[in-house]
Amino acid sequence: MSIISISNLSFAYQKGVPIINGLNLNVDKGSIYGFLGKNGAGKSTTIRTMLGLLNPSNGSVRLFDKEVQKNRPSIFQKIGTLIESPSLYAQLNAIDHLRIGAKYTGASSKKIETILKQVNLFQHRKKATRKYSTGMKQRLGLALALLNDPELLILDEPTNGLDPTGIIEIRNILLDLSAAGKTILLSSHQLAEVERIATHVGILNDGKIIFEGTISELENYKRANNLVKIQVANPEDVSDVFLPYDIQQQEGKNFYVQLSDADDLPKLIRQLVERGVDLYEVSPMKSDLEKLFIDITND
Amino acid sequence: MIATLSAEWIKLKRTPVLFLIAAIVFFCVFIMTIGNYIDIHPLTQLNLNPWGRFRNIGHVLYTNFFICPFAVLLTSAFFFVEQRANAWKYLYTLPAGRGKIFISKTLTLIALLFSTALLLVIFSTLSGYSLDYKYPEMEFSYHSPELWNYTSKLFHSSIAILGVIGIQTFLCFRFRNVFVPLGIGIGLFILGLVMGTTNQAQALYFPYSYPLLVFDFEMFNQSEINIQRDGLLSNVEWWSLGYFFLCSGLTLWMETRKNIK
Repeated sequence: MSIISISNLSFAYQKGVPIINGLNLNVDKGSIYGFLGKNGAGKSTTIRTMLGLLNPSNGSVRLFDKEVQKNRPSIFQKIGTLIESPSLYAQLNAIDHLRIGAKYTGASSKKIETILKQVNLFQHRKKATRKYSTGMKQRLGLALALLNDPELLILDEPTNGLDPTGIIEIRNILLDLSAAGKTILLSSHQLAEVERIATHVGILNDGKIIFEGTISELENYKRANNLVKIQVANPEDVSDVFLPYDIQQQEGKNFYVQLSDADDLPKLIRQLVERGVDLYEVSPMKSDLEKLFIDITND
Repeated sequence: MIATLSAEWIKLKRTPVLFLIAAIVFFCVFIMTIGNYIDIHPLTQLNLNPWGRFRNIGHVLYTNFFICPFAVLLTSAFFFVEQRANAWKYLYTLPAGRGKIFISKTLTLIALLFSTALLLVIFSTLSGYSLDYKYPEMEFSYHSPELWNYTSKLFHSSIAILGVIGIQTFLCFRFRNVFVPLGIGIGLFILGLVMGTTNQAQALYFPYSYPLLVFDFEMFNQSEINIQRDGLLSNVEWWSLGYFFLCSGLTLWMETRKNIK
């Protein structure tokens, strides 16, 4: 079941200059959806349109199977958001912020202490937020998003500006939330981070989703255009066999061959074996998501 | 609605809004006290209630000269709390809804304005009794403090400034910063002051002049301005209420359709 369903969404700040252009996106219940894109690709604009902060010029956004623009209060009751940097009142402390959040959302103020402990801010609860580090502010933003026990969390760059420890803390919190059954949409350009926690990925480029699927589907997508490392005993024996193929690099006995089709790999191995070449290694170069992402968005 | 209203009050902790209210109350009461302390004789006439004259100096200053820039500053400072926190994107993704948030903010702003009036009543009364402690011949404690009379005057002054509050609120939402509404507001206050003190008939339609017109302190010639002070509210106050509701409605309409960047 799709918790978020966006179809043919378009948005432009100026006429004729679309930021989002016919975007389709689906987020399944219980998934961690990594929403990836370069800076300026339209991630934040998509999230703001998704939440009704921006009025789309075309298309529809359905959350929990309801139109957002017409059902905001009932939908927002089930959502927690963190849009870019958290909105914090510098003069107030964490307890004040959560009390304000509880008043607006109708959440019980008894939960405040539990949530502060969950995001590891309990010992700083009485400190004014102007004295908080970036990581502490992000964690408080996350605490505000969690206050009404939302079914869906929409987090726009939640690890932005965090040091590695802060990133690990946020990652662990998100994994715990996912284990508790929450659906999470996570926008980021920190691709290695998304790779670690996401179950599904959507890649945005120029206001359009150019890939949507599970992490393994994304890797399969890449494998179809795979780079293969082949190590042979004697490189001079095989140079003509490789002629029809795209050799990216040769390092001694190692050939890095770019295959345009997954079926090319067994064909190439057969040719080498028939030639009597001693093969020491044939291994697909499994790239990380960051490399895939760059490959895809550069197409 | 009560929950969202109480959320607004929590946000005001340690903000310039509360400092501004404290400053205006302190300054008005200080002027009353010092003015009467220096010029003590008119207050010591036998069997003459001193409270009216005691408060008059503060009320004239507050209504004629302070309340308008105070309203401009108060509105800017009030909305600056949200702007500085970049909080609109957060607030508008809460279940409360844009309309409810706008109404709770407007009600809080009005409550702050009337709270200022209430604080003026309380502290001017305490100040009068303090003077009486030092100078019993002033006879403050022998006469009724005329609380209702002073409260009523401040009520009318506050109604007369609601039009300015409405316009400033619109400007704060329209420009989403502190300086543009503040600059426009101060400019219009000066214009209102000029129009109200130079007997311009058009002042009746200019909300920034209304505090000068709501009472006749016999300080300025207002013969050309069609002011009608009979009835529950003067026509100036009705105009002020009209501006307030018009601007508030316009702001709410604009805000519920606005793209929040």
